[in-house]
Amino acid sequence: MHAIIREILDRAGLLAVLDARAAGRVDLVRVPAATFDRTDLLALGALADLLRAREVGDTVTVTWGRPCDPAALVVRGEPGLALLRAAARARILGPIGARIHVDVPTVGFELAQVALAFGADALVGPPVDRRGLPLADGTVRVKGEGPVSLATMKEREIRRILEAAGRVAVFERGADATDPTVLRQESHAV
Amino acid sequence: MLSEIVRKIDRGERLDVADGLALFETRDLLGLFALADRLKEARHGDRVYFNRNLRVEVTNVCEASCLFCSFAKLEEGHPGARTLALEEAWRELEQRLDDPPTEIHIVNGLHPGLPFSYYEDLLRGFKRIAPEVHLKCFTAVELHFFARHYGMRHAEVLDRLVSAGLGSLPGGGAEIFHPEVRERICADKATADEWLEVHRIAHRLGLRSNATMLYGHIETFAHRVDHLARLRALQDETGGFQAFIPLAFHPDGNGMRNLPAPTAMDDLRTLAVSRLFLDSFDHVKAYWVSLGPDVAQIALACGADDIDGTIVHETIYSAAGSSSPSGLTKAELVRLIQEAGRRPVERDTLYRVLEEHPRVAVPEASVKVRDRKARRHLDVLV
Repeated sequence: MHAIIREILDRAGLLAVLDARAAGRVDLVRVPAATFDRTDLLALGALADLLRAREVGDTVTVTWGRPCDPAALVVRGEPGLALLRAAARARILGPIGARIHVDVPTVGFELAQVALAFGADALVGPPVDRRGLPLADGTVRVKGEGPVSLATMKEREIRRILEAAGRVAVFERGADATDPTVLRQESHAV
Repeated sequence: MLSEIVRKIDRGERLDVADGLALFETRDLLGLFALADRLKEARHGDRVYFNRNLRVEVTNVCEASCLFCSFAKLEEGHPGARTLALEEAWRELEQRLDDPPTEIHIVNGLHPGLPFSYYEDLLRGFKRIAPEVHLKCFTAVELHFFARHYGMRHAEVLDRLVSAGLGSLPGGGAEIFHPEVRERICADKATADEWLEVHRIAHRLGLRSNATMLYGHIETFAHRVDHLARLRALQDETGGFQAFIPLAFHPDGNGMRNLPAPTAMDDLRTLAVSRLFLDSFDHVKAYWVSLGPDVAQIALACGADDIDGTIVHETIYSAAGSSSPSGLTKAELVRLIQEAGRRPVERDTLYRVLEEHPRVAVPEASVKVRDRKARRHLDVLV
């Protein structure tokens, strides 16, 4: 842990949480919910990211077109600061090694990606374009490969982005990866 | 590597090009953000600046053909090309005199058919309507075009525009300075040296200006660091830059539409590195139009101390596919900053404080920004 991270965790009073989880004592993590609304966002994110690295490693699961792991915690809804705080909170208060999914269609890929630095380790939802709309059917011609589907191109883009952040993407795709209703119906139950 | 850079900063040493590259490449993003935030806090505390500005683009006719531009139409008469009559431009201000902006920000295409007096009259007209309004007008690219097109020296162009009311220069047109990139994306407008020379002359004449960098297209991290290093060198020489504004590339409707836009993490990383590398710049701006209000809020924890202004109706980024609203009210800006746990400070163009707002606890995402896409409420299932 860098000194700068230790410094902000110490200032936010979160070093004890790190120690408790490192000892497997989730029961000792007693952080009032209101604390999460006041704590420095970077400190919360740094703690959540440390826990994520220790507990689930660098793999990011991208679940397209099928229900996500029923044991997963799902963060969805309003984008922005609250999303990041929610992802960090889920990591810090959740069971050790829990999957923290971010519901991409409701927050957009941009912020979902940021949430991966705040404790999340999985993306769930149908493949969407930059504007958050479901990917259209179709192909593009790629030099040396011929026609490649838009979904595959998006998969490559996500893989490249995650690799640049030091993460490893693992794709789990359903039979109908472009049908958003599949996930809307089944990803809510946690 | 980050630890070494932290030690260097703690010793008060300046970061070099290798450090800049290492920061762009680090995977310790939270450490990077925390370090940038620490520097920002040391300089500005919890203050975040904004202003009430009005963006006016009087012509999108442009003789340059920049690959990244979705705004300019090359010739008069081209579908979508438009040039405002002076009265139309002035009306933008006249209809807002009940709550006038403190700044008018004017950026245009390089129109080969207008007389220079058009621009002088434009500024004089705004000053006639509101003598106290600050006119931040014309990028260095435009000013260089004026010099070349109307046969004047840069200093003469600036003198005449200052006489007409010009108060400072915006930072646009810098794009990426390195010739490997600049010659590919915008070969037919001011070079890097010309852009820098215009700002050098402006600073010597007592004008302040801003600087930008258009990132996230074909450039490498090395090109970005080179760009920042050139800006830092000029700032060391003149001290005339006020703010640095990283501008995210948006691909819709332009010659690089096959490229993906930079990601939010790239946006935040670029802001943080800028704060650390540009140690002689007072302000690093999270331009909400380019980033979107949500990412701009996060950027306030990553080294940014300014979020720009009300804008009122931005057209350049919206032409390139930005989903940001075209303007925000003062109340929305104040709330966006308060949501991020910072103290909103309304400034004028030269960073004189006009009004300091309290730092109050505002629930995050409580601000419903106009035009923000409808979203479901936050639903964390823990």
